[in-house]
Amino acid sequence: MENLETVAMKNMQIQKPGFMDYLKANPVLTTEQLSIGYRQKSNERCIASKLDLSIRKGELVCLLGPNGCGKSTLMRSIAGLQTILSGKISIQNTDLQHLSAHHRALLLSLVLTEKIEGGNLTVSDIVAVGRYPHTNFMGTLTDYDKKEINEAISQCGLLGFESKLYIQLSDGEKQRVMIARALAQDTPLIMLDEPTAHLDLPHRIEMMKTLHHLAKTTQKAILLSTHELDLALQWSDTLWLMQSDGIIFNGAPEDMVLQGHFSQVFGNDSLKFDLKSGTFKTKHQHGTRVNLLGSGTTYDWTRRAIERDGFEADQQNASHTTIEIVGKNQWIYHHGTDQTKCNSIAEVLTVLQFDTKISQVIKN
Amino acid sequence: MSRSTIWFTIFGLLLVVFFLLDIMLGSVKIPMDTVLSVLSGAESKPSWHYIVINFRLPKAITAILAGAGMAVTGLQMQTLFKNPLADTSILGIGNGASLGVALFVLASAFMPTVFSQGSSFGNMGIVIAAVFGASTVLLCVSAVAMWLNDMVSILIIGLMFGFITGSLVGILQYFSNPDMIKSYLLWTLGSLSGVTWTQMKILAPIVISALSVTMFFPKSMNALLLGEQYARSVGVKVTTMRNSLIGLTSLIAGTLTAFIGPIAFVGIAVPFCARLVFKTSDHRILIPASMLCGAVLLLFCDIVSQLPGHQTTLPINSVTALIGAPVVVAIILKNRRNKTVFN
Repeated sequence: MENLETVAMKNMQIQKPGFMDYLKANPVLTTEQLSIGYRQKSNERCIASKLDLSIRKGELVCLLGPNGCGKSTLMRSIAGLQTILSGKISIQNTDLQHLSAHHRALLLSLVLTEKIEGGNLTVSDIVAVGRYPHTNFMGTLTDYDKKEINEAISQCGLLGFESKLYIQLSDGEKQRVMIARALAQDTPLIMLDEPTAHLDLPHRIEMMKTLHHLAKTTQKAILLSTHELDLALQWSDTLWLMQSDGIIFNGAPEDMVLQGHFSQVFGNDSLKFDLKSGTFKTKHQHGTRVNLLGSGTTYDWTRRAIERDGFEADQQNASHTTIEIVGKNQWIYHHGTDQTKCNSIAEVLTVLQFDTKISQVIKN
Repeated sequence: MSRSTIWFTIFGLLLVVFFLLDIMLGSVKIPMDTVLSVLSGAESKPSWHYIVINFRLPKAITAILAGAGMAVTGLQMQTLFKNPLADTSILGIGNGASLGVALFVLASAFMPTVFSQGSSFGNMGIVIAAVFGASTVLLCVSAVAMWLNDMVSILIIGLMFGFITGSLVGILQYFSNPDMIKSYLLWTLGSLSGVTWTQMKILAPIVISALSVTMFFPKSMNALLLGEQYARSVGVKVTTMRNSLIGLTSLIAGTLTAFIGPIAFVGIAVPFCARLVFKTSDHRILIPASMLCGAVLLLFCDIVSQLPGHQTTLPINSVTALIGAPVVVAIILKNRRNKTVFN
């Protein structure tokens, strides 16, 4: 009962009239009428213009977009690695444009894809670099700095790795070290450039989970660029969907899906965004229809397999060909009056392809 | 006690021992108690006193300064270029200094009154010429470095600058008289014993002050180990820092090269050993450690070059190369493991 009550309380809070204003009034990062691009002498190439974006405390934002749409340009512009064409970028109401490198380092930290050499550097050596904007000219670490370093290390699940050499770590661990370094820098905004790039699937999920958790526990704003649609959908609080022409849609990932922005940005003639599964599927334009009878997991996977081969699964009995799922790992293939028993999907596919070829030969 | 404290103590003791041995050994062997009494200012046999004060002591001090200086410039180059094999000689800086000196020596053939060697102006002239030559080449190489941002190309371009200066020196030699060529050649073989107290008054202040300024850079050099982008992101002014390091490097390398000739390999070998022994990449330790190791190594090389028991002295450059080259081979063999494709 208590649970229901707290949920109700939360709902009440959200409905309070001032709540949305509060969210908007306390952004970590804001861009006002921002135009980004490249300027060479008098020649200006604008990638995106009139961007009004913001990130709150504790919010995880994923920047998604097709290759070449200008994601990197936007990230580089916000990070101050490239000059902006016009507009304003501010972090906690401080305009970034004319800020010294030192002050900028107190406001935003970076995690890049570029691999570092490492040498004799240990994990704690690298995380300690994050404290540099806070230390004196010799880089002496105070007790407070050491505490922050340890905290960052433990938040990234690297306890016990402190004195290990960086070059001996796996790619996933290396990435976590760089995130710990950014955390130790203790800035309101952390920006990550494709943090999942070198990782395998379980580690990619783990990484997004960690980042989401870090955003909530540390109340830092996290902005990352990625190519992982499904991970971004699942873990980001807000999506920035960048279209090829530089227009950015932003909102909760689910809203982006329902409002059709996903298919608009990424879809094309051969790719279709499947609302149900939240993934992109290849449109099979002239699929031969095949009856597929059955249900459950086996049905789903069989359907995937035949769709890949350009067939369209159907339950309408409209085709000469029928694939019937009769049990665990057992299929019966009907073609006219012929019947073939199959014990694996590979066998089903072989029979299906063989028959299709024969019918084509006969037709011709 | 931490690892670095132990090694600092060991190398500190080695420095003292080698320093005394270097003064003690030579064509005339001077007993240790005499060396100690001369150094402490007590009375002793006049001839030994003269040898120690006017020959052995400035030579030992030069060895320490040169070892420390070349080691630190090597370390700076390696961090700056993110390559364990970079040093002032590979980047053509030594050749630049040679060209400066060659030009100067040749000029003195035409205008002997202005550029007479041995006078304090002549010494200063060689220094200025060497520093000028070294910094010209270093500026060219680093301008290319900023533009290309690719290590292999930068090293190749450094080598090419080396060839260009080398061939210019060759042309100069072709038109010089044998005496000039010999004095230039002797300079290239390197010698620690050429530094007199008068010259020491120029050499020591420049090298010591440049080395002290180096002590202000460990923080940004550490950040630079993560790459330029990361260094910028923690507030390091990379361009300013790079230019200052290049300036310091050419000042130290140029001055030392001017007085003692191009000392090879110390710059590569010493920082590598320091990293290996102290097991760290932290420049707060590496900079003093390289200075100490460099001083110890050059004192050792100088003792070896005296060939104890013989009257002859080997050129210091040959000895450092004989000891340094195997170390460079070791670096390459060790790095081979870390630089496979799939790691």
